[in-house]
Amino acid sequence: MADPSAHPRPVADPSAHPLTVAEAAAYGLTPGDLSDWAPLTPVQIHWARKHALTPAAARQWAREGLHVGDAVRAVALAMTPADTRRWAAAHFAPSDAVEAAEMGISLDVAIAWREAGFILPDAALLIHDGWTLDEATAARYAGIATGIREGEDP
Amino acid sequence: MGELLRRYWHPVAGAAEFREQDVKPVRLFGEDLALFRDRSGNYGLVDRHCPHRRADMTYGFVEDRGLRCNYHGWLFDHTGRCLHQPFEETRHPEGNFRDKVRINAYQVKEKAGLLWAYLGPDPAPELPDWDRFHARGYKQIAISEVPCNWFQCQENSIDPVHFEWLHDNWSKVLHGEDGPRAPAHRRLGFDEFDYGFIYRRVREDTTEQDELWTTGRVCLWPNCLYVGHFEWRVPIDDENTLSVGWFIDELPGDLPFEQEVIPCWQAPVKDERTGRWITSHVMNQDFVAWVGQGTIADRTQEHLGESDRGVIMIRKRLLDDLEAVAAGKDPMATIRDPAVNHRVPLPIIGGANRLVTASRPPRFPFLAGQPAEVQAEFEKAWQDCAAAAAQVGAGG
Repeated sequence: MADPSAHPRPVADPSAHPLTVAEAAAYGLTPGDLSDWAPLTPVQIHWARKHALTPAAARQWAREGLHVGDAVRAVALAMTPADTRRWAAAHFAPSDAVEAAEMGISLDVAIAWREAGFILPDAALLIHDGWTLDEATAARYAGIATGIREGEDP
Repeated sequence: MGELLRRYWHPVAGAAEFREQDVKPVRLFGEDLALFRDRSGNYGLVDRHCPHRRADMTYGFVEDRGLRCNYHGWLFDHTGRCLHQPFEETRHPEGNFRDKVRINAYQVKEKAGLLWAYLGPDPAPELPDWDRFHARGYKQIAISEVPCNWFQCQENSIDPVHFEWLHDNWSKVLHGEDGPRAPAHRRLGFDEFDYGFIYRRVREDTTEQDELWTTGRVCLWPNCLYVGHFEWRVPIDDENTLSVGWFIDELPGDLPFEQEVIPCWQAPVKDERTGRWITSHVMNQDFVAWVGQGTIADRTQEHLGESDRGVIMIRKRLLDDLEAVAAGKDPMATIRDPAVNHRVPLPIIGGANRLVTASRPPRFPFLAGQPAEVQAEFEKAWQDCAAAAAQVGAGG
């Protein structure tokens, strides 16, 4: 069954599309604002403005792979592009760098948890709740029959 | 958890239900309540049990100013005030006993064909006036009771990959189709905004220019999915959820269309013949997944992966909001400013007022059990609008 609400808007130039202009007006944005912030959507522009993120900063963080929401968080944490690049070099998603900074998790710790099978946001919540890696790993496999654990013969 | 959710307005019934009844029993947040409309048009939501001798208020009768218990005739208005105690006032009119007794009552408002209840502390926030409520189209409301905890329902609201499997691929299997599988997801993105989270995706048949990525879909905080229609997951109690769907079908043309009554119908979740969950429609398929997770899903037995980033995100937000409420702050997506609460826009693929491109009225895909009269009313509206639009197009 096709996604019943997926009727993609034809967007050659999003900022010029009448639907986008109408949505922008609902956020109090002008066509000029859309141009200034292109290619961000009205809701993204609204969020950026609400958090004092400039178009230049939004574009800079976009080049690092961060969308507006994460860019706002990165700025609030006084992060630099070099921070996200360090995490990207270790094959983490750019947003993971922000999540880790927010939750106080070092790259080494994140790598250790990832090797045990935990994606960063999951690991961050577990660490925040006081779990050690050993405890979390043991709990993770507690519900699985011994014979089908990874690396074991069934 | 209840302390958090009580900070929001929740849809609890369709206004149309009160064209045929005055009182309806409802259960919300573990409380048994009586929802009523008195003869003055006031909606009330009060304890199900009379504070006098605990009789069932849903068997009471409405009057001009409230709901009267059928046991000894005590009358309560929609604010919970006791207005009349027949025998007490006969014997001791000077006692004013009625002023010393109240029934627990909650605020109720009507909007968009729904009755909304607020069960939290005063002052209540604004009841959101979503822009989509004002869109032109045929609207309908469908309500189901789903026997599981509300939050596993809401986690589904930020899980893009499930659509590929639970709906697209499983539907093919259910229809006995052997063709290729649905386009696979390639990339996911999540953004917070004022009223929740936006989830975005790139599938193997789309690019980052597609609205699935540029606009995305909305996990409306704290307990709703918005994808052009709304799906609220309202806690009945810890183990049951009221699924309230508000749907709109665009109509041909752009001439004014007024819908006198937004119909409200009860959508079944089980196939009475087999005793199994209904699997034929989109939301029914969701229900199968939710109840299949257990009455209250045991998260300690999960193994979360990349497709679960959104789920983890809203769990974190929920915990943050619990702390905020405990600290006396408003949780996320609470609207306090009446000036802000006017036709509040939400991101929507295709825009809030989409054009009709179909050549005939579509079937309702979301829930099984749509009454024939609702489908017929929609088809008539659709055909009337199409005919009117054709007449305008022909210069008539």
